[in-house]
Amino acid sequence: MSSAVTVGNFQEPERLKDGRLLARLTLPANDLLLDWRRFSLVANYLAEYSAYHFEQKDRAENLISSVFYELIERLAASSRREARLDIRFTAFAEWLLFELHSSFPAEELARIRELLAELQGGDQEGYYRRLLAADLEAEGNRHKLGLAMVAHDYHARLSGLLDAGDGSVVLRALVGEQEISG
Amino acid sequence: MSITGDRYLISYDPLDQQVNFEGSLRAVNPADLDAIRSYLNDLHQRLDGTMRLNFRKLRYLSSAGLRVIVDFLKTANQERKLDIQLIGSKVVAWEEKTLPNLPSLGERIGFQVFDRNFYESQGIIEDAQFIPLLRNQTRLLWPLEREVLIRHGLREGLKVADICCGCGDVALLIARDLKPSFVLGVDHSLPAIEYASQLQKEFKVRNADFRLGDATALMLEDEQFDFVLCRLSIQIFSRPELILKELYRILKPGGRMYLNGEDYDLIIGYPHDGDIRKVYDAAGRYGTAIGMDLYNGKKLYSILGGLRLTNIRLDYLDVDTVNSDRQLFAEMIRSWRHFSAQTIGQRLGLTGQAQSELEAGYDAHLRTIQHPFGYSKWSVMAASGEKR
Repeated sequence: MSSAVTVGNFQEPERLKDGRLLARLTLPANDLLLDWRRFSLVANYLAEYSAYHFEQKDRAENLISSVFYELIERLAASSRREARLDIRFTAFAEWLLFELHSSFPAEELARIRELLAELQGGDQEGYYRRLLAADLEAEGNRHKLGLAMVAHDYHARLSGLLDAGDGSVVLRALVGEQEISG
Repeated sequence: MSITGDRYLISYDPLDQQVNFEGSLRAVNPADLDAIRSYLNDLHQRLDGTMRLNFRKLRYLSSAGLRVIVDFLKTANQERKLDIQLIGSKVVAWEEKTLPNLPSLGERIGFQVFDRNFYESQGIIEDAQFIPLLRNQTRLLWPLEREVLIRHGLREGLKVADICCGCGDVALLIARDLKPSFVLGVDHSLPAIEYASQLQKEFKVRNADFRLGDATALMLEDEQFDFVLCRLSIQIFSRPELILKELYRILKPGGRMYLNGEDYDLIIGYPHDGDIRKVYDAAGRYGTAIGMDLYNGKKLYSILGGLRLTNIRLDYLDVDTVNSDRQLFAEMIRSWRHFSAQTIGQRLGLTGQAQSELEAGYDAHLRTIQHPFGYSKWSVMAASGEKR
């Protein structure tokens, strides 16, 4: 029996039809952990590479890099040292799917599950405002801002497929393409 | 006074009590974040009135960087000492998404988009309807300007920037005909950049790229271009010095800055010379009223000299009824007629009579151009100088 659980609307069958995979990278999580500047390097590479598929490529590049950066940082920082980070970027008719696969130790898995569950609430605006007003340096809040910012500022639908059995994690952020045009 | 990190620069401009953020504020270690926090807090203690935080040239801000900014804003708000004004740009996606949320942290924190209404004629110039006018002008100017650009040093292999490139047709013509290694076109008009990118695809031009950008805060590194153009644009900005500073910054030492500009004093024609003079005097005045300088051509030499550029070259691009196609010339004047009498006329709230007088003046000019023995000339002045 599978020990995998989903948090949020992971499948989204209506939105995720006939996608085009625009970019995919697989990297050792440890490489990223050894030098955090690689988060930015990877996010920028994916964004610059993919931006040419969009009419407003400058805004697309900035948005793709900004979203990927937060997802990569969040996932890499919690990954097992030996994990490989599989990063995929897919475009659908009106949606952009940012997807990352990795493997977490049990306590990090529980933490991301809790955060994703928090971000599913109906009052995104209130949640974000309360988070900004809270002590962001407090241990419980420090790692929340990145995903909360993606969910709020880019109206991303965040979801996860988490398996406590083998520690595998799939994190998805689904962003409307209209976010590029502002 | 500034603070630098691996990919960012934070500096203070005392003239505007403004902290300028540049580069990419990401993945900074805790010591860097503490240093930024201290830097902002120290400035806050020393200032009175309003403190501005300018993010226009910050390409990226991560959540770690945002934490520091938010902490600073909360502290500043608690102390109630200063008003804090956050300044962003509409061309950078993260700024438009993230910065507007921050004023909720305190009633003395404000946010403004610098480049919305940052020159008076912006709504007109950046409208898609302006594109046909630009294209007609290029059709007439390019046969003359191609030779002038060569004379001013644009040659094969150079790295070129066309700032305020409009719909990109001159950048593409340069890329195709003059074989630079690369041409980057930057403009603040989204319809114009979309148009330019579409043309680039259609013409399969590979040595060019177009970016949406703010010419007063270019996201480009210092001294990276051999030849920097800014055509027919300095004349529409009410504060051209902000653009000139950026053109100079991105130009390599030894490279050339090339400007051109109109001068309504130089538009002539016969017959109907009196009507023609009268209409361009009026159009020039109306241009001034919306922040343009349509007499800018004669000032270009002084502008380049003022920037301490050397080896200044100056040319006239004289489009006339002898060297150019009369029908094309007339087509351009029809675009001007509509732009001046209708678009600018409505913007200025001109009376019906004033609009009719303008239209009658342009009609007289059209009759001159279409008269088989009529003569008319539109002069654009082109000047370039070398950066030492």
